[in-house]
Amino acid sequence: MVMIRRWIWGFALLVWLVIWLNSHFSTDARSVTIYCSHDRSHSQQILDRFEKETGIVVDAVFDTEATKTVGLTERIRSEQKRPRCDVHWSNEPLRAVQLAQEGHYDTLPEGAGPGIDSRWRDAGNLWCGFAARARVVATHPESLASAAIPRSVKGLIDRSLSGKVVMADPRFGTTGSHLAILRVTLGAQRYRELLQGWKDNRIQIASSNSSSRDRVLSGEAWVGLTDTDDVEVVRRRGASIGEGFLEEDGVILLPNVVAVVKGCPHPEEANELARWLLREEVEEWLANSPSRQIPLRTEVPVMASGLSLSRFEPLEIDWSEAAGQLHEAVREAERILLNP
Amino acid sequence: MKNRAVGMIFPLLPVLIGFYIPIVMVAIEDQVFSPESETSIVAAADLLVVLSTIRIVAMAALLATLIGLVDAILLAGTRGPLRGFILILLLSSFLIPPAALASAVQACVGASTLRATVRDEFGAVLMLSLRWAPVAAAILLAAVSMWPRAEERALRSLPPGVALVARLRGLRPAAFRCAGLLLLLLLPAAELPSYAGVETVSQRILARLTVGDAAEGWRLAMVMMTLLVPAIYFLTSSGDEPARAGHLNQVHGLPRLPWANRFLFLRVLPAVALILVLFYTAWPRASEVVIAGKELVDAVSSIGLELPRALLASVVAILCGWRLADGGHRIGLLLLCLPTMLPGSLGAIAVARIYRPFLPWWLDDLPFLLTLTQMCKLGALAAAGGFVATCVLPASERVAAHLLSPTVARWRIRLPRALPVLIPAVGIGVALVLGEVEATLLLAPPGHPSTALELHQMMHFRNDEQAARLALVLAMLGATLALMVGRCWKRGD
Repeated sequence: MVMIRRWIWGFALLVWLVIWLNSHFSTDARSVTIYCSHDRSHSQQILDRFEKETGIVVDAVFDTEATKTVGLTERIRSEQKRPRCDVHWSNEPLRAVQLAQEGHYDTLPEGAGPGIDSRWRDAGNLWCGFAARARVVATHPESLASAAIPRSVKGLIDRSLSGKVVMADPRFGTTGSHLAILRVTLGAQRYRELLQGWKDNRIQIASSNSSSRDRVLSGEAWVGLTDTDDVEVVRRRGASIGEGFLEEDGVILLPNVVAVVKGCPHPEEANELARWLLREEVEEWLANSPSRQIPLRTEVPVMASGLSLSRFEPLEIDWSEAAGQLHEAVREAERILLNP
Repeated sequence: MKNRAVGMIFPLLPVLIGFYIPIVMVAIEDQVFSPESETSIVAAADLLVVLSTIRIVAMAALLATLIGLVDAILLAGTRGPLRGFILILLLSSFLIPPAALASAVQACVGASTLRATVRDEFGAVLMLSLRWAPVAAAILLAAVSMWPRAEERALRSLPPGVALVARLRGLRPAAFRCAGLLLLLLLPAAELPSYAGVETVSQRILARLTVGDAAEGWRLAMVMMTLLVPAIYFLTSSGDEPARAGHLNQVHGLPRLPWANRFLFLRVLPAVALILVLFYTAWPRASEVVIAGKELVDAVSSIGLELPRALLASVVAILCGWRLADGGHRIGLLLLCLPTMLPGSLGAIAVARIYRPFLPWWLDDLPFLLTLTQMCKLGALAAAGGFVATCVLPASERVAAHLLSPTVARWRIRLPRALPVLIPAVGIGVALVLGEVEATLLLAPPGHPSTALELHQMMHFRNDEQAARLALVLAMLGATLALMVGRCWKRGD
């Protein structure tokens, strides 16, 4: 009996080993690996379409907020000597710009992203933006703030909003990028004064943009700094929440970014995928998805409830400068807003 | 002397290869401690964060142990309905990420009706304690299962109140060690405290990494490790508790206490409520039944594929811990514990940077480095498991074993006697490996299945229903592990 049991266990182990090895060793002739920090449910559909159209198998690694954007960016850094990733699809531009500056990206294929303006792409063609999110203020519909939605980040130091403004941890994600851009546009001194003003106005710090939005939904905060997609996702679930653009500062658009990793194992397939992702159709799908991205080409059709580029006056951003200031912006925010 | 050194080196190999060698090489590469470095001194504010993290985690570990102690005493010292089921329910929720529970509750009752939970340090301590109390209860129940037969019989002849107090006293040494273990396991916590608006060292280290300032992240980690080394060394000192063995599984003689039943009913109520909320959220609409079924099958198969790997990682780690404890290598146990205190990202990045460039392609396509890193993260659990397992062996048996050859005495006599403690430790290790996200995100080869990672990705984008389905699968897995551990205790040694 003992022998039979051992044989059964041994056989089960063998079966598992075969299945497990099979799941790790792919035999496909053409494949491409993408590191993607965009919403999995939408980006997976897009990558499936690419697979169907081209026959190239896509191995996707998706990011998660649990690691606060450390994940895929740091993974690309740590794999520098032997890259595993072919294409990097980042949903936040500044850390991608940093990777470009550190030499992790190769040049994109010629003609990739036709129609996308030069202000959304790298001068050396190392990365190209597409389908952006906007930084917005979410407002509680029954609060005083909904009647007079702040149109500038300076409005958040208004005494009437004391203790009623929330933002995500300023060191991570798009909030960190937002602050770096503010530091570039305002200058270091005025940037620090702004942070001090927020601190004096008892700004709440939430763990993420979605937590900021949730505090606004619950009424704990009246105004929350967040992204358009975070607002849209709860609106589609029937929640009532206001949204205002920071038009006095210039609306900050943070595009998705596509780049090909230098020394990647499948350069030909990587170029094909990068070119494919930068097509107009992809922007259109993303614009009409629940993440409500903003196409960077004005000619891309957007549904009635969507957002198009022509609706705003986007802030002109020097991406290299903003990426260079990210470190300082984050450290100053930590010192002024977070340190005990 | 030479044999003793060899005996310490072998069980330390995984942690040397998977942690110490890569971090030293990365520290040298990045010139972390070079005198030219402008920020070589950690700022006072960072030190305050280190101290507040230790304070929060220590309080949470103590509170969780206290709750776990009450649970363990009532579960082991009284009789009543559904005792085994209560522990399974409590433990099953441990594998579910708290964010999944929060998103399910939001999806269920609506975010606009939810006020935030308690904030600041108190909130962080409360959330960490409630989450880890079932683990403390499991550890202490393992200690109870090794109670000497004669003592157990004597306890059952005492009046109920006196017996419970005697059990409390008897479990005190194990409770202190349990608190120490929880302290180490909780130190890298970042997610739960962040919900309470509290910053921990792990979060600050991640913040450094996210702007590409890994060197300062390392310095912070080193400060925390330096502060805690004496504490861990103290924890691995040999205790004065008597050696124990044997078990008494039958409930015969245990008192029936109505208040204990009521307490345990109330204790388990939140877990039941949360699982019901998960069910409600996960339940598919008519149009989603096929997709939901497919998601469920995918999740179960991906866990099925991962389970043997998690088991392997956990078994190797726990055996290493037991081998070191069995040989009385305190320095070795200390070295085994240290990697647990750091965020998984740091070790994973170092391993990827140092080893990946030289790995053969076939090994690179397998989760070899991931397994190594996850084994290192189980160091504290392994050390604690090994330590308790060694303590419970009766002195007479230990002396008798010396008459045999060292190998036979270790693997044929002492290891089987330690299994009632080591198997639950392996179970907890499997749960920790399957729920691990940070190293998985950085080291898993593309296409490698990870339910916990997938769950976090879904929550990131508020796919509440899908996340709830995955969370339910993880809860079922947690329940299965708890069931296996329970059976192991029932069987005894």
